[in-house]
Amino acid sequence: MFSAFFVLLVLPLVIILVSLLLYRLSGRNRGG
Amino acid sequence: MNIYDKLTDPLAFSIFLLTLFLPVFVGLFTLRRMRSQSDFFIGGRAMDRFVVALSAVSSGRSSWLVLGVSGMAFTRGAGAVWAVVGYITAEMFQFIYIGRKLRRETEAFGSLTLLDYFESRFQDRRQLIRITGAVIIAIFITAYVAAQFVGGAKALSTALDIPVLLALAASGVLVLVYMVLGGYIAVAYNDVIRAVILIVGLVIFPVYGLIRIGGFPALLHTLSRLDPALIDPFSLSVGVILGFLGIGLGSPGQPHIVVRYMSIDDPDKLRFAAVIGTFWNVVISWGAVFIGLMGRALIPDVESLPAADPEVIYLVLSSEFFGPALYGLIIGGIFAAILSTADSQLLVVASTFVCDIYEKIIKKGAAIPEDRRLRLSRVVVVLSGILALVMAYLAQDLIFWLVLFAWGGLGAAFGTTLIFALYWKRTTIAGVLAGMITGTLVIIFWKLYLSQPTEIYELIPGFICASLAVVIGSLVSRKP
Repeated sequence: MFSAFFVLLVLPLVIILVSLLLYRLSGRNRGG
Repeated sequence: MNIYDKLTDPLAFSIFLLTLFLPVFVGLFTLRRMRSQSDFFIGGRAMDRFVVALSAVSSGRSSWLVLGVSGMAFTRGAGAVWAVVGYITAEMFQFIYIGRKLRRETEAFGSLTLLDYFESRFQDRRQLIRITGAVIIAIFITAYVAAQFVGGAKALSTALDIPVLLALAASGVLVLVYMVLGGYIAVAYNDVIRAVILIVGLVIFPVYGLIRIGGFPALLHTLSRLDPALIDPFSLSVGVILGFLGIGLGSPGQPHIVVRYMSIDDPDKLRFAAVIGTFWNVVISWGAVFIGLMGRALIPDVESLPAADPEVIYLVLSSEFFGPALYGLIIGGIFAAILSTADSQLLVVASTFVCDIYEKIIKKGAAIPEDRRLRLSRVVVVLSGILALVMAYLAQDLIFWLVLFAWGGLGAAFGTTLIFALYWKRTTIAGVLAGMITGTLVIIFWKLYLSQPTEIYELIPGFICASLAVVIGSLVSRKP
């Protein structure tokens, strides 16, 4: 039950948060 | 039972038709922005970040997401999530890293296609990369477009009760009209409109369904009573989970996705596009998974579905849940998903024929006036579309055989070589050629002979072997 809760509700939020984190970390003119 | 019965309602039918014809109007509105071949194939490198984000995601997701993933969740339960996690993660990094660097370098080289980039990057005067890449693209992506047309036409033929040939011709004409008018810009804006249409099918639909079932805990309880494995995402074997995640390895090698990054107006805006794209990818992908899970909770027996096919669960539920207006939009959503992939791929095929084969290989880069290049691009889009439609009608077995290898083949051949070309200075022409050829051959061989006995998805060995081939091929050849 917990693992279903995690992959169906928490995981999508985690992925979106990671994209925001990458946005912050990549910085203009860096990374690419 | 015809799963499209409800389309006989005039309101549902009118809304469905509107979703089919709307792209043509977009083509008309974007016509005046077509001044050069660069406008036609990459939107003149002037596209907005929202458009690029939504277009890059929509082009990568065909009916496989709407019908395939929901069917997979119906059959396998919560474990279907692994099939979407891989490509969402891969594409998130792609926007920010591969996309940004590729956008900068392609502008510096003035490249319109991926193969243009490879040739300039490696100063490949003998055009070996362009020729090899063009063959791989011409075979796999033409088959890919044809397969999208077949899928769309079969569904359209059932939905409207018309012959498949007529449905094929109608979908071909609909796509070609706006592509000829507005090229890449029409295709990209249509992707945005289709994303809006998909909000109904993959956002409102699952939320409404969840409310009707009694909420998330009720859904899990019902599923666990049916079969506890349905709510255990780790009930699948490690091989299957890795294979699902491995789907993401294909994303960087799909020219129709990668070309979107090349079209943005400012490379740094790809950072924000990554957030929008990832958000959208997550929303529609989890939406498809939830539809499959709800379907299983409401209709536990697959035998009670038409043709006992779990992939029709989206259609069955939408017919049961919604009134004519939303139903029309939801069915339109399926075609939206199919056509947004088909048109993007068709544009890649046409750019390969015009820019890579005709202008660079046959004409050897001779100067051609811009208006003639644009005219030629439009003619070739029509010819490529006709080729795909003829293949779709006459050679379905061949198409579906080729498409088995398409996602993996392109991923292994172009994904690996692109990453090395961008990030490893020591990469050489020989390395790229070795990677492209090895990737394609390993995918075909593994898919045919080893994927069933080993239960390992072909893209994983394909990607590894192609990467090794790039490294070995580069190291044994002369330093650039």
